[in-house]
Amino acid sequence: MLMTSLFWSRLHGGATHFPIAFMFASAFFDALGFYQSSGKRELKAAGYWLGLLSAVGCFGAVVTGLALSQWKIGGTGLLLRHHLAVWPAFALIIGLGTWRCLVRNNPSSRGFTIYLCVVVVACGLIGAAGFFGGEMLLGQ
Amino acid sequence: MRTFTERQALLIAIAVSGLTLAATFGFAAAMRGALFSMRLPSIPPSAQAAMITQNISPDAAQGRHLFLMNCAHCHGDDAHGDEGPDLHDLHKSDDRIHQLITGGIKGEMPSFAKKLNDSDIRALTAYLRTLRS
Repeated sequence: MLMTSLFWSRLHGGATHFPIAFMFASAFFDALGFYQSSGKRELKAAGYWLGLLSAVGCFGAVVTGLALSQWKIGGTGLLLRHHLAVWPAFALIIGLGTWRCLVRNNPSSRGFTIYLCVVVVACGLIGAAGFFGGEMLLGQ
Repeated sequence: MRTFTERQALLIAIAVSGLTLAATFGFAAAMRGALFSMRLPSIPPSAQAAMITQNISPDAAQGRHLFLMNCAHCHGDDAHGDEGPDLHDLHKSDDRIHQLITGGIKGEMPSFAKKLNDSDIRALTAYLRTLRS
């Protein structure tokens, strides 16, 4: 094969860490902006753009991951566990990015609290997906 | 630019994420279909089913479980190879298999030394010995 699994493994490793980092940083800045009284606007703007970058970046992570797993969306063992965390996380990141993009800077306090709670769930799923992915590639 | 209420934005977000997921699954299914249509089937499904239902020792059954958990995503569910090689009819000693599982192969296969203990590897080896093409 022209593109070996090692090629996809490296590309997937590189592509996944950007959206993961962006999502965690977005959650951090959004939470900080929510609880801080000063610099609220700047912190929320940072959370907004990082969330959007994460949503865009996760397409690269998903495509390289699918290529690495030979286009399996399920699988067995660790791959299945990885996918069980990845797919809801992917859907949530896209949904959160879309919602944030449409609402822009006008979310209500209640709406933003719910948004933050869903972001925490998405971060948990991303963490689980990363854990099982690392277990597969590193084996320990 | 038009602004949306939170409720409208929520409905659109659910629709977009659902469509994205469906499109991704569809694309993956199409790619997988294209990938496998380019390959000749190595073993007919009836023969694969026969191999799965054959009687194996408890040790090998435990090994099969470990194989599905740790190895199948690279070597294939039926161990006929996927990204990793076909594991049927191995001409390697038990010691060599143990060494490969614990040490790994640089750049190709990870080490399972911290994940699988000696009895796990013995069970895994027992399962690998049952694999005949």
